[in-house]
Amino acid sequence: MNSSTEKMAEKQKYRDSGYHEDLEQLRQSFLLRRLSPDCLKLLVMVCKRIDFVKDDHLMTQEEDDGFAYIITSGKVSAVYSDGTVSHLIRRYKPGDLIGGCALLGRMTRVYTLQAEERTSALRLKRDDFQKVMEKFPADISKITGSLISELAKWDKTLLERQFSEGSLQSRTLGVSLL
Amino acid sequence: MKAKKERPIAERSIFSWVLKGGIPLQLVLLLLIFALVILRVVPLELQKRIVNDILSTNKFSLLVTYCLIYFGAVILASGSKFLINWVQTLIGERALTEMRRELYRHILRLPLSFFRTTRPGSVVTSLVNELSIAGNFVGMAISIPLSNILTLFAFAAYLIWLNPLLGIVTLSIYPVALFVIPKVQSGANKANKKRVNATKEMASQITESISGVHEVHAHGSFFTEEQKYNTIIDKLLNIRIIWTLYRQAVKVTNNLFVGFGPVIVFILGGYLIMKGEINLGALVAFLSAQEKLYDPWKDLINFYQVYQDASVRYASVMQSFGEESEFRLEKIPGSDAEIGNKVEIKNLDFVTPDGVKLLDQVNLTVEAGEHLALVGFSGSGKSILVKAIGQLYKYTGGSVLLGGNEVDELSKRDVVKKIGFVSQDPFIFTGTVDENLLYACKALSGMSVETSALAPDLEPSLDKKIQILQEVGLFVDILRLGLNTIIDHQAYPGLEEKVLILRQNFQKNFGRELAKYVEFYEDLNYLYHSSVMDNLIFGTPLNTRYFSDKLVDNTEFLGFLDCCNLKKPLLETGSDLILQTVSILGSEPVEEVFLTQTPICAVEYSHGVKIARQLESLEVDELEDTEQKFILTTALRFVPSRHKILRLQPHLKEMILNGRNAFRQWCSKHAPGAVIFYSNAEYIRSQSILNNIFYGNLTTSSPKINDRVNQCAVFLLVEEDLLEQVVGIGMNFDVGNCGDNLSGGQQQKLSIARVLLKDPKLLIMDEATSALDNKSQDRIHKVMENWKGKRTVISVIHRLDMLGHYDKVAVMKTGKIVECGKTEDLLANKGVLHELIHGKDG
Repeated sequence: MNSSTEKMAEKQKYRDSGYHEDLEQLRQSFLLRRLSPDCLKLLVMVCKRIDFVKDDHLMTQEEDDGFAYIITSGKVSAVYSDGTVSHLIRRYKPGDLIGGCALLGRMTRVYTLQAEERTSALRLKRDDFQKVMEKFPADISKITGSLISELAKWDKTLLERQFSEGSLQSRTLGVSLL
Repeated sequence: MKAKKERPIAERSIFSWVLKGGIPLQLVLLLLIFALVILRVVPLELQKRIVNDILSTNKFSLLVTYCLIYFGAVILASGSKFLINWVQTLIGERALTEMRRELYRHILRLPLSFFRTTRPGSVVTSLVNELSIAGNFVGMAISIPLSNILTLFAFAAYLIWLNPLLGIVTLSIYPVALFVIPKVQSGANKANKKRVNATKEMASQITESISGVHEVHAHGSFFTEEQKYNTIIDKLLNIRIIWTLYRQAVKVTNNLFVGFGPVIVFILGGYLIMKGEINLGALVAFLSAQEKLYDPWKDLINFYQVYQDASVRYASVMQSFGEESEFRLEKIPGSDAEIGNKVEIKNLDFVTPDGVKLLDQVNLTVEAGEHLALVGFSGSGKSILVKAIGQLYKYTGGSVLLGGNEVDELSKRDVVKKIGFVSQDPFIFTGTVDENLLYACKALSGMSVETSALAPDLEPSLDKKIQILQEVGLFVDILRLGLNTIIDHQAYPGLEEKVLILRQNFQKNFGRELAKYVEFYEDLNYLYHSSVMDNLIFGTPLNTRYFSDKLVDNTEFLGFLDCCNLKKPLLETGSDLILQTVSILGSEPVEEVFLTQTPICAVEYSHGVKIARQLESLEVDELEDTEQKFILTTALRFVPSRHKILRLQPHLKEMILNGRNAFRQWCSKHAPGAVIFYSNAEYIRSQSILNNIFYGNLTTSSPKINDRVNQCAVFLLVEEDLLEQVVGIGMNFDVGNCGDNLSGGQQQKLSIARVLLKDPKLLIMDEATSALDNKSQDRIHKVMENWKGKRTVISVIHRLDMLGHYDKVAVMKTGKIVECGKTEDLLANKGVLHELIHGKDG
């Protein structure tokens, strides 16, 4: 085997590692995709793979767990409880990032996120995330930028939906209208 | 007799520390200095006598005698000098230690407001760096000036004794130097200050340009940034030249004056010899003494520069910590009356130094044993209010009465005895769970005495600790930490045998249910949750040479690896792990938190970086033995399920499984009894208690399965009466740096537990359960029900559905209490509480 083939084989060996899979997952998430490569690399080193079985809670309504998850396999659902009845809000699939705002500061969950089947997820912890961001202060504005653009998009969709449903008088304002 | 009150540390001069090094030592130093001065003069006289007496008498025996005395004097002078340095070091280091001790003591007691504006880094720099210069100065404050001035005087006296005229003329240059040198030095000081400022300006400019380098590239504004930078460095260039010139000028001026000495001696001395007023020996002694004047003089000039530097730094440090503690720390003698736990707040104000009113005429009464919830909008002053009640902040107006006593006037000792305070962001200290649990109790018992050790009769029993752990919901966590511990079998005799019984019970009762979440220690199973070394050895080493940290130094084991062709692939795996880690994390030192997914730990990271560099140009087998051992250790520590930077190659897995079998055979032949191999009938000392119960590794992180594991463990431990012992083991768990090894919820529970353990009569909780899950919050609130009527509770809460647990609620808005009463009454009134819960439009 010549040296360039060897080098290719070496690179492939690293690419096959869980590290590179996780890096790809992070790179594709809406909140983290604008981050610098070095910052992302360090984030991969602090995120953990967690397994869940059916009915495991990834997040619990009214709790501040300080985690964000990227689903890598399986299925999870967000459920809102009004105290008596639980309502399914939506389902998440592999590749979705959930709870990213909790990385930025304390917040209690407004819904419960539970596994519908055996699920694997990458978990980022707020403290670890902030330790990484301390090393890359220039990337903080990128996170804020991603978040703001996502909020604006979300608000626009909400208003359009309210308008199309004729429910604009319901006094529900989006985040960007605060 | 009334003890003399010591001045506050920040007001003490640098010289006040001189005697802190020890008066007896200073006296010893003085004696040594006198001895040294005499011993320095003796050789001068001998020089004169050797020239005069020997030349005139030609007596060899006299020459030998003089030389021996000379030799002895030189040896004794050197010995004295060494002893002086030794004593000076002792004095300096003792003074520095005392300075650091007292300043740290002072800093810890400074008001909390001080720490809002002071960065921890500046405290560290002051204590670690700045004070060491001052300590260094204190060590030399007596010895250097005294020994050198005395030496100068002794030499001067000797010179005048030899010839008054020549002596006075030679010495006349020193007063002139004393006048000129400080003037030059003052110029150097001014230039130095300018240099410091210009350097800061340059650092700021570099930071700005580099932070915004993407903008520089985007606009192509390289020239603009260069110009800004060049202006500063040109300015710095001039300042540095002037500063260096001044510093050199001090030396040149000094050398110049000293250089005049021999010229004067030659001219005047030669003239006096011609006139017969002085003999040759005296002139030789004169020249020698004059030359020797230079050393003490130079030392004095250096001392002057150190003094200046130390004074500036010391003054700067003390100025930074000039504030005083806001509260009395110790009880007033005779004021031992029991303090009640009713809280009365009247017209309470808190205004910041900038004039912002954070509390405005707060009035509130909490009866003894009553539970009050404090709620309000963000920034309404809830935290400030509870901190004022807990004596963490000094209020600026009004009063807070605790059992009729003004909180401001109570000693800290009274307050910590009476009040338990749990903050929103609890701090966990480095040490074990148990040490953190006892933290408040220890502080309480140690406040009036120098030691903070807990008296044996004050140590809470294990039962009490367990009760508190259960109350705060930490019991299962600690139990799990205990189960995950690899125990020292000598410390827990008999435990291994009992765990083997648990293993049988587990297999009988829960084996089938949990089997799919465990990788069992079976001969043909590769253990992805164990290290390569565990997979290979597959047993517990008894011989120390086979212990994990000694294995790579065991030549026989290395021979075995070679024999079964494992050394090369392991070296390759180790190299891959190192290269991959360094390529991700870079070459700078990194914290432990970033290394959890690699087998390399923080302390050895720099070694890893060095090896990665070598591997760029060398093959792994070309590296030195030490490097190869490091690489091998890294590979042997590799746990595929945890260290995701590399995937375990299938061929290596097969080789290790084959190697496992080969090692067993090799061991029975070459090192019989060195390892006890995994067997269902043996306790595995290299594994945790839990893994021993399972006879395998738990493979899932699922909360539900882990809860089930905990339930099974409790069942099994209770059956064998081992529960308390394992919890005891869990309490010795090392929580890591600032509690890093515990989750946020566990830290908060531990902080509540440590306060409850000291049994305070007034408990203040500032969003103390915010990081807890709902179940834990509910549990704590249910426990609180039992305290009603016995322990007063004031709790800032964030979950308004918890209001039902409190006797009454106070609602805060912009620093005022706007509503106070029973929850149901306030909700019925549809006031601010109603708005908080249901919103403005609710």
